[in-house]
Amino acid sequence: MDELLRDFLTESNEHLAAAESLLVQFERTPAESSLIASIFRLVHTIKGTSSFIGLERLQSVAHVAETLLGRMRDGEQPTQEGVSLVLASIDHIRDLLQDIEAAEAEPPGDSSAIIAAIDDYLANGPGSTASAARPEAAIGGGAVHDQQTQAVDAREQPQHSAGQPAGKAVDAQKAKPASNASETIRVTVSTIESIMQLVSELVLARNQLIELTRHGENEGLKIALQRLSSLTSDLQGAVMRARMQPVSRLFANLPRLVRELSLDLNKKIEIVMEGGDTELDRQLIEVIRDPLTHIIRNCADHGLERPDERVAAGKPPQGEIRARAFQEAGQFVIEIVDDGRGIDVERVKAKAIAANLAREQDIAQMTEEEICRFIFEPGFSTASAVTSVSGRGVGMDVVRSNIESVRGTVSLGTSRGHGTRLTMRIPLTLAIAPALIVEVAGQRFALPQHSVAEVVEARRGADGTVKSVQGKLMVDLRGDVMPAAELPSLLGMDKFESGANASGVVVVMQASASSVGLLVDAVVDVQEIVVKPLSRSLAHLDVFSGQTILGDGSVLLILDPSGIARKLGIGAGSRMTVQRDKDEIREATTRLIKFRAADSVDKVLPTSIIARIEQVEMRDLKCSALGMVMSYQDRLIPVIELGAPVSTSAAPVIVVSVEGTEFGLLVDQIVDIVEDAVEIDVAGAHGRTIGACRIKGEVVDLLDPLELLEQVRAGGARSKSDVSKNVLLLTGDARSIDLIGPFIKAAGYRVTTAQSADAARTLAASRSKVDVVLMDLDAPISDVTGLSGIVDWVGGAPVIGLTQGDRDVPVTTGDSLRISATSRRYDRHQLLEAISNSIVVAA
Amino acid sequence: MSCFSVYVGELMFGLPVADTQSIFRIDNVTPVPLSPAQVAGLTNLRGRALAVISLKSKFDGTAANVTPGALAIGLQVAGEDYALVVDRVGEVMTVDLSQRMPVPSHIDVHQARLTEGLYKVGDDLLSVLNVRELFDVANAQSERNVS
Repeated sequence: MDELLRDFLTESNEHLAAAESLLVQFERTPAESSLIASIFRLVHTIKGTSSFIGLERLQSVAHVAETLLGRMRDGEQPTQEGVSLVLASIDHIRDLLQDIEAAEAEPPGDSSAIIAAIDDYLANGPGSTASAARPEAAIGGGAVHDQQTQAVDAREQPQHSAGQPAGKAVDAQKAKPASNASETIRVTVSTIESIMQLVSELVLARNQLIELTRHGENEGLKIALQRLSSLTSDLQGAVMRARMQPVSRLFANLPRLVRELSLDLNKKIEIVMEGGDTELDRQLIEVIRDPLTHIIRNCADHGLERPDERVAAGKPPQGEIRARAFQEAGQFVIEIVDDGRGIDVERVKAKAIAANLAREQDIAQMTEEEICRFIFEPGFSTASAVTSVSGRGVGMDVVRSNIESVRGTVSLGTSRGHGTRLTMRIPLTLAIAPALIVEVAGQRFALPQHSVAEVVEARRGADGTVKSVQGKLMVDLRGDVMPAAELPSLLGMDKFESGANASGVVVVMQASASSVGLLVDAVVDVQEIVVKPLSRSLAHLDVFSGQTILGDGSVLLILDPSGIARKLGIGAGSRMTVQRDKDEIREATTRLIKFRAADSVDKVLPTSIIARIEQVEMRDLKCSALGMVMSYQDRLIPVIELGAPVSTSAAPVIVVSVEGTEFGLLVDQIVDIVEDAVEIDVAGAHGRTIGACRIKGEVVDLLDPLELLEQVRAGGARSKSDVSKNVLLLTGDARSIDLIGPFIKAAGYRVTTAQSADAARTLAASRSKVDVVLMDLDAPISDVTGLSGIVDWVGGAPVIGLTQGDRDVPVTTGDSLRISATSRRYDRHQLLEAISNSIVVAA
Repeated sequence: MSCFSVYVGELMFGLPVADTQSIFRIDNVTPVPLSPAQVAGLTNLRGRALAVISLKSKFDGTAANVTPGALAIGLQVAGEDYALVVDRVGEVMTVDLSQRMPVPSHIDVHQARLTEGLYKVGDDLLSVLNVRELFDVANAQSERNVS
């Protein structure tokens, strides 16, 4: 049976029963005007609902009964006859309801008899002949049944011969035991709540038992316990199901809403609904009913364009609104996506400033998503005209407050010209939840499993998962960067040193739209816990959502992911929200690091080329003649000064790694990590800048890493790949070693020098590999005789002769060392070229 | 009215018997990070989690330091369960409500708020604790922050 109809039947039968008993009371105490008002309301409700469902016959009967009652309510003295007529009509309604239940439709025929009787009474008053006959008999208990039969007779007449009505009446009576009353019973939510509470306690008691018998040997007990355990789980599931209802109840009236909207707005709109069978707690369904309506209205009015606009934009004239419900990570999610024009971020900005919701400079730093969130502010509307549908700025704030009242979240994604996606996430706030028990600094905490996305090993350092940015921890999970925190320091637990535990795990938690990494020592257990509200004296601590008692009797605090996110300053509307769910609306995006350096315009670089961000003490930055250098992982790397840091003590340095060369960029401030599609709006490479582009609605300069690399290479940064090549410099002249050695090193080679044959022999003994030999021809090492050993050592490595001036012909020394090339000793370019040529030839 | 006498050091207070549910020794305390100083943590009493509050720190403002085995009184105030940690529990005495005296003005305002009044019991004076004030921890915290 149609759910709507079934609800109606259950409800109407209750109304009837109530009306009947009230009516009897009323007859006794006619002065009690509140009684007749109540009866009137009940009958009125039945009339209204039946007309809504399209039960016309029922409606017509209820209508006359209502009119009669209306008279009495307005002060007309009720007569016995009048009351009997009302009772008769109520009986008639009940009969109709029974037939409707059996046939799932109104029985054929009409109810003219009862209607005529009441009309007659209304017109002529009591005592008139037409009305007198029937109700006379209807006053006593047995007589009511009489009247009932009469009523049945009355409506059967057109279809049935005289013999049949009796059979029909029996049918109606047979239907009674199987009636709606037995199929559904109405139970107050508080009853279910208390059952739920008891089940929670039962789960707890079971857990305690399991804990107690864990080490026991009694097999019989264990089997009994297992049985108890599974029964408890079943019971728990059954109670939960009792509260669940499919979302299709919510979706049912959307097509009609959309149809009306499309007429009102003169737009073509199609609604697509998915996941109607997803179940949700009954109370929560009610909570999202209004928000859903508001959102659909907004989509239709603001989101979707007029058909001509759509065609002009190359879209089908018919707009689409898609509502999708599903469960994800223990949360109920409902998404509403339209393929309209998207949100005009600039307009939202302007409105937000005009409405004094934010200052201009604040907005300038906000991401697009944050700006869009202004839509949820009370009284906010970008519609230029107020329509009957929307535009009064009432609605989206209702959406937010309703959802937040059940600790849910609303997030918004938009793409200009392509549409808007609004996602509501509601926790399935059930009293029993599986939880991770984590241990940190010797104390255990519970983490609700539905908010845990994953648990990974915490490795620190550049290639690890845990990184430090400006002294704050970040977790880099397969390119997904999210803020992170060490739980003890977050909770201000004493006896804890930051970074003391190199090991441990990162629990990635999903808090609203953003993710947060939480560093803990270990995950010690996974348990079902009974969530109890936090003691009132602790209720103001929003990092905890409740407390629980474990099987071993210890009390644990339950961590609240969104509270933690807020504590980290990344709650709703924050700047460090790294979008996790990949939006198909969005184009291919690049993850960029945004930073500030010197100019007013922020700069960005793709995070893919960034090895690390270091907070460097200014005194650790050394100025060599070639520029600034810093010590990085036990070597020196060049640093390009992009900014002029205000702070004199420390500044962030972005370590960039391009083509094996690492260099640092000294900047003023790291602003953010953003993800967006990079579209160069103002191209034209100017020095280090590739072009200006808009990232999340904000103008930034995209820097050219290759240009920066070029700049660094000019300064002589060594390329890591060449470091493996070993150059042996043989010269008797100490000055040559000092002059030539460093610039060969600077070019990225390892350099070994020998000033004497002895030194050369010692080196030879080490048998380390030599790729190129540089031999000073003007100042050979003193004892040439020792060279033979060296020849063995260097093997076939090419030998470059170093000369004072030009010398064209390769010279062969007395031994078998064959000089393959010569170079002027102090001509850097020639020498480096000769070295790299020799390496290439040798390879 | 019947009152327990409870002791913090040598100080004696009266605690209405009607408010108390049990007297027990605390087994294990789970500390609560970020909590107000007077809250020593949470403890489990027969399947219920009680906020543990030290009467001593309530009066002298020091951080609560409660070790397992500490003596506590289980109370229920406004539907919430609490464990009030005291040093010692004395006998039950009958307090004549007509013998109430206002808290003398030279007693510290903060402390005076925690007592409901002074009663003459025999030859002795007993200050009876105001349990509602005693456990309004969040309130006390916010007031302290303001001042």
